[in-house]
Amino acid sequence: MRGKQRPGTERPGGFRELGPLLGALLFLALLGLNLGPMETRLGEVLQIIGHRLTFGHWPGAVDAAHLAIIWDIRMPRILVAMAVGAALATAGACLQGLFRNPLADPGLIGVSSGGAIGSILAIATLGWLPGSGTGLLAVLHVPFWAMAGAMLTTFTVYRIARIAGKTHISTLLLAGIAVNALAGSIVGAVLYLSDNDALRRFTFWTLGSLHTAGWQSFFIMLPFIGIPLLILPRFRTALNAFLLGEAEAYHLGFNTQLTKRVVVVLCALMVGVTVAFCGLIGFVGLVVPHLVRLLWGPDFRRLIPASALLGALLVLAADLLARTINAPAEVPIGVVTSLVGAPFFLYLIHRRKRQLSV
Amino acid sequence: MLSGKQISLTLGGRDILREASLDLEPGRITAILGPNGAGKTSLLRILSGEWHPTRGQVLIEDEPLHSIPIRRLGQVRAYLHQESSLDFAFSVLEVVLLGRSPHMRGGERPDDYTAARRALLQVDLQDREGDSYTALSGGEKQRVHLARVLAQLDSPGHQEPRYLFLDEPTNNLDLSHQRTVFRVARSLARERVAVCLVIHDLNQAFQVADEVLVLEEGRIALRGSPLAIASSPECERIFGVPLMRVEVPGSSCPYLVLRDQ
Repeated sequence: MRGKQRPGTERPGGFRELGPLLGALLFLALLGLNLGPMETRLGEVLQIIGHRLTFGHWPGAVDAAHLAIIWDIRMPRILVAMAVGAALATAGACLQGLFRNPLADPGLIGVSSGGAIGSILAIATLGWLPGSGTGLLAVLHVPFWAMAGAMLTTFTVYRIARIAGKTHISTLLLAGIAVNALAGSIVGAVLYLSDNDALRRFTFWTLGSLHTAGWQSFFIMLPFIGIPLLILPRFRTALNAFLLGEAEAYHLGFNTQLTKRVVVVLCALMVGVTVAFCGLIGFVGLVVPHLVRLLWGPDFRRLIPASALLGALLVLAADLLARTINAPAEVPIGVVTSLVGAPFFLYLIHRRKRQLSV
Repeated sequence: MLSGKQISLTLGGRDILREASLDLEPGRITAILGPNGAGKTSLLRILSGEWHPTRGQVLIEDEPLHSIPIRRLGQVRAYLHQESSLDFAFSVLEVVLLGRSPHMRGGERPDDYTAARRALLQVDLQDREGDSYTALSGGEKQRVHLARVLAQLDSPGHQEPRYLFLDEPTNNLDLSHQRTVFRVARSLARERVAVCLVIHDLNQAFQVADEVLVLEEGRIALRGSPLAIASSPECERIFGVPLMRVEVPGSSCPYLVLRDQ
């Protein structure tokens, strides 16, 4: 029996299972630094990392071309992949808690699409909005609208799907379909009006891609992903109680209004900034928390850190696959995650068929 | 003592509750009866702080309920909903431990496990603590949630007043476990807990309660001891059925049966 030896002897807040995840993540990151059209050796990679981390005081010379490729191209891309994975998986886990439903995924319930609507409108209007043309404002323009769009949809869907204190999975998914359709049509309209170059960019973006990831996008994404990742674990016990219901969480002594607002805002920040920079990467928020629950149970004290790490691991793996499978061309990463995620989703629906009232 | 003062609730232009006033005293069991839609559950939700009344207020030890920090409230007040659902595969013990949330800082301590196991013992689920919650039957799930609220109010040694609200706690339960619920309610009352329950079965209410309130269209129409309520001719009018009181040999409890028309 699963729980027999667990309670009492082992604290669910323990981090033992995170060790292997962290090790695998490090291994994959090193592998990623070595993989690419240009061949590099592990020793060289380590030397370049040492070189950069000591600001050039590392003994031994490094090749400038290799330095540029490993440090300026591969490194930020790996970091962005990990950040995106951690963000999507954690947002998925937390939204599932809030909606009390294991099938809530930022992509399925329309949060990502809301972000997409925000960012595509921002991209389309970039240039003729006053003050949006130059400097930091221009850089933050698209992410800002993506986050606003994601936030608005999350609140709207939450309101629509809650009937008498309960979230109905059918209403939730239908609201998601509606928002996804709206996003689809807006994206379609913008595509219709675009020239060839923009068309290609938008298409890549809707399929999800990390090929534009550089240090600049990493540093812009960092606070919008890092801060939520630091704050969300504070709500782990509240989210556990939320699984029983909002009223139950209140009776168990949690400030439900605060929890709801903070979790929605933080998840929308993470999903929005991800969408703005990397487009739509589906199913990470669904698959990762599910795997974590299968392995270590549904307790949020484990779920949040483990989802963040496993999400980082899986998106990094997917990106490595996406950029090596057909090298030197790239498969959009959203295609890879959806190819794995969609069948998994079907399997979950099949398994839960009897409990679902869709 | 928890007091509801002149509580009124209007939802969508409809008066759900009209100036209901009542006191819940530690050590006493109060049963709320009434026809469907009389406002029983709404009254419970307001008294427990879950809802705000349109007019009137709720006081705990003469302090307005909503001025008490939510976490502090969670330590002295628990609520068992008619139906609680949980779609995630927690173990039975983990669900009951959720009841300890308002007492925890950081993680569970041995005390919390003791309280949770004591609660499971009271509802007859001591052998099931490792089972997955989602695999349980409806009645077993209901008992797990009962254990959860028991664990929430568990504070041996501290005799401060505590409040337990039970909304139709015997739903889904077989006869023997219905009796378990009443036994648990009585033993809590002995530990200075004020128990307030909504119930449909008049005779069960007479059996368990010290005081009975009958709601009619949001108003408290009758209140008194089980004996007084059972003897009141008003009951027939409020519930809209002809009733007859019968004597049960060996029991001092009043018993009402439906009379043939």
